[in-house]
Order: sequence, then structure tokens, then C-alpha cells
Amino acid sequence: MSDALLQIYPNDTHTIPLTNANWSFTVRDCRLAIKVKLTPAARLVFYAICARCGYEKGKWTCYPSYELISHDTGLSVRHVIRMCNLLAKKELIHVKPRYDEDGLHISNLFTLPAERMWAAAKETIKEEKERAERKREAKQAEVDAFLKVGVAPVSLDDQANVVDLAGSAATFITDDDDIATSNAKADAACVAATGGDCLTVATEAPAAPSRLTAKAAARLQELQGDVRNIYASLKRADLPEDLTPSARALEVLQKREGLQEAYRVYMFAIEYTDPFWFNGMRNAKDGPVAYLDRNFEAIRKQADEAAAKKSKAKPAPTSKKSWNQAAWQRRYDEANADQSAACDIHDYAAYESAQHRIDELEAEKAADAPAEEVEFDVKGDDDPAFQGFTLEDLTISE
Amino acid sequence: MANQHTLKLLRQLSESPAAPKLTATTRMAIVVLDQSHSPLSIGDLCNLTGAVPATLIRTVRLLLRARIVTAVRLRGQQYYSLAPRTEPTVIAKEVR
Repeated sequence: MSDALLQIYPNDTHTIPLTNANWSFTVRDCRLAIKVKLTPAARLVFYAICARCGYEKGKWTCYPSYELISHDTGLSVRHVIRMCNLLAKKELIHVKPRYDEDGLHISNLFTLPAERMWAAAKETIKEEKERAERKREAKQAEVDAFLKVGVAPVSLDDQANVVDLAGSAATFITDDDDIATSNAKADAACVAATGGDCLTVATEAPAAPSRLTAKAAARLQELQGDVRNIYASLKRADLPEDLTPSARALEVLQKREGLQEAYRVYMFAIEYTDPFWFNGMRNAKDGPVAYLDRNFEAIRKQADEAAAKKSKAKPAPTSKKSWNQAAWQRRYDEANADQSAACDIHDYAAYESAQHRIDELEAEKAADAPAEEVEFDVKGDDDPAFQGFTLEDLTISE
Repeated sequence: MANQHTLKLLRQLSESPAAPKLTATTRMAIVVLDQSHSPLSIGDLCNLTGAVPATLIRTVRLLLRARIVTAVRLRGQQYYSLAPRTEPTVIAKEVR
């Protein structure tokens, strides 16, 4: 509510003048309606009544008919009556019936509780000021912490965990810690790491011990693990103690080329057919990551060529639908039997239909069935008619 | 002295052909946005109109579709205000 009210009342000085006859109520004056829980329709009726009120005889009053309020708000008369009763029950308006000379009811006199509305306005403005003051103090505390320690304070919005990587005594700060606690923990870890007064060092020298967010620390550890894996896959024994420079170089490479692209080229270099890059990475004095970075374009070119060659090599064979000879034969026999039956009873249409089915089945077999192995009936050795024949018997004698 | 502007707005909304389509929440949202000096978020509109967020989101979507309300994005949050050209007659015509 405060933000909305602050936006609606930018100067915070807008209060209801209790005795100004030229004043007109608007939504911004109805803070009381905001404090009381009301439906939109009730608020609409309340604002419509407020908009018609005028200052007369020390009171803010108006006497519109239910029909007029209904016309103003677009609600039905019965709904307006219900809302007026609700507002009267919540003591947001005071309803007094008016009668003409004959004693007939003409309309109602609505009186606004201007005193309550004014009190609510003052209270709301006070709350808004206090809230703004608290926000300002919190901001100032953040600035003070920044100036004191020399590093940006932890923002609770980001829920950042802070870890001090200056030494082995790394301290993780949980999400539940507030700014002061997180800064105190970080300072303690800093003191443990440097063995001296961290705050003095931080304020005297601009190069304060590096503090990374937990996310950045986890990323660094992950990259260091990748560097270890690279050394292991190359079977290099000269793994340096400080892996951070290689990790940073790897991160730069991955950011520049994209993670997948960098991984693809790296895998080509160490696993694919060309041992040139593998040996180069293995023997590079400045480390395999630097070598990969230096020759990245050339390796990528080769990797692309290899990929293109592989894709052109052989299209995957398409799987052919399996042929079920038994099922086909069964359907063929059924169609044949139907045709015979139709022939017996002289049903020409049934005969044609069966013939059509037979044609379809034959076409299906021609298209899908595997080529039949033709067995040639070779009459040779087993045929007694050919027994005893030799090649000499076939020679043509002149 | 009555607030002529609010009354005029309410009257024109209720007299328009689109009146049956305008719910109390829609009217209330239009009145609140009309009298606000700066764009309002959904939470602000909820507090000022008294509607629940689900209803208000539907209402604001309707008004956005009718181009009665414009949205601005600030610090990852949407704020809404009446479109500059919007007049009550236009509102009635567009919602219809």
C-alpha cells in the first residue's frame, strides 16, 4: 500500500481540509476506504458519494438518490442499496433519510466521517514517512559498510553467499544471515587468512582480499576440475599447484566460443584421428589450455571438415516394412473364396469386389514382398537320363 | 463542490454502450488509474481497488487488449497507467 500511496501522494502533504468549502473529494482523499476491507463495488459507491459531497454547516454531506448513484456507478439500484448499507455498517458514511412536506421519503442524506478520514490520512502519511526513513537508513548502512570494508556489501535480495578465497579458512555465509552477520563472517575469515587486521589492510590498500560469491566460487572450482581432467586425459604429470590461471583462460575460451563449441573442438583435438593436436597440447610448455586457445581456429576448421565428411559418407539405410507372408496368404485365400462364392450365386458386384481385393493384394505383394529365390530345377546328377554323360560326350564330332 | 472530473468519468462509463461489460472492478481500476499521478503496479491496484489479484490481472489484461491501459516495465516489474489519448468515450468504444 505504501508504494501506491507514495505514488499517488508524491508530496505527502495532501490532507483533507476539514473546513474548506471548495474542496472536492477524490480517490486520494479516501485513505480510510483503503484501510477498511471493502469490495470494489463498495469502494466505487463510496467514491461516488465522496465526489458529490460538499461542505455545509460544518459537515461534508450530499443527498443523491439511489438511482443517481446507480447511474453514476453503473451498478443496479439494489446493489447500490446493499453497498450503502455495508458502508453505513462499517461507519464510512452516515445515512439519514430525508422526507418531503407530506412525510414521504425522497432521498437519503449521506454524511462523511471527515474527522476519521482526516485521522486516517494523517496516520497513513506518518506510516509512509517512517517506512521511507527506514528504507533510507538501510541504504545508508549499505553505503557505510561499503566504505568501511572496501568491498561491496552482500545484497539480501540476491541472497548471495559470500566465500573468502584468500586463505584455506573459507567461510560460507548462509542465506539466512543478514548483511551485518555476513560481513562479520567474511571479515573473520579474512583475518584468519591474512593473519592480520583485515579491515586495516582493506582500508589502507585498495587491493582488498578477493571475495567471490558462492556462485562464482563454485564456477571456479568447476573450471579447475575441468583443467585437472584435461591434464589427466593428456597424461601430463606437470599439473600446476595453482589452477586458477588455466581455469580463467578456459572460462574466457568458453565464453568467447560457447561451451558446446569449445567442448566439441577440444574433443576433436584429443580424441579424433589427428594426433598432431594431441601431442601439441601434451607438450605445450604454457599448458594445454593456452595451446588450445592459441590454435582454436585451426582445430575447429579441421573438426568442421571431418564432421562434413562424416555426414556425407553414408546415408542411414531405411528400414523396410516387414513382410508377413502368412497373413497375406490368408487374406488372399479369403478373397479367392469370396470370389468363388460370388460366382456361385451370380453376384456380380461381390465378384468385382473380391477381384479388386485380389488385385490389391497382388500389388501389395509385388511392392513389399522380398524377391523370391528362384529355384532352378536343374536336372543333372540326379537324373538317370543324364547318368554316365561326360564332357567328351558333348563334343561335336566332325 | 463535487469532483466533476471523477463524476464525469463515472457517468460516461456507465452511460456508454459498453456499460454492461464494465464490471465494478474495471470501473474502479479506471478511476484509480485516472486519478493517479504515476503508473501503478498490480499490487498497488489491488490495494486501491480492493479487488483480488486474479480478478485484477484479468481486468488489466482486458484493458491492455483494448489499449485503454499502457504498461511500462521498471526494475523487472510491470506498471500500468491510462493511455494518454484515453477519453471516457474512447474507453467505452474500445471495451465494447
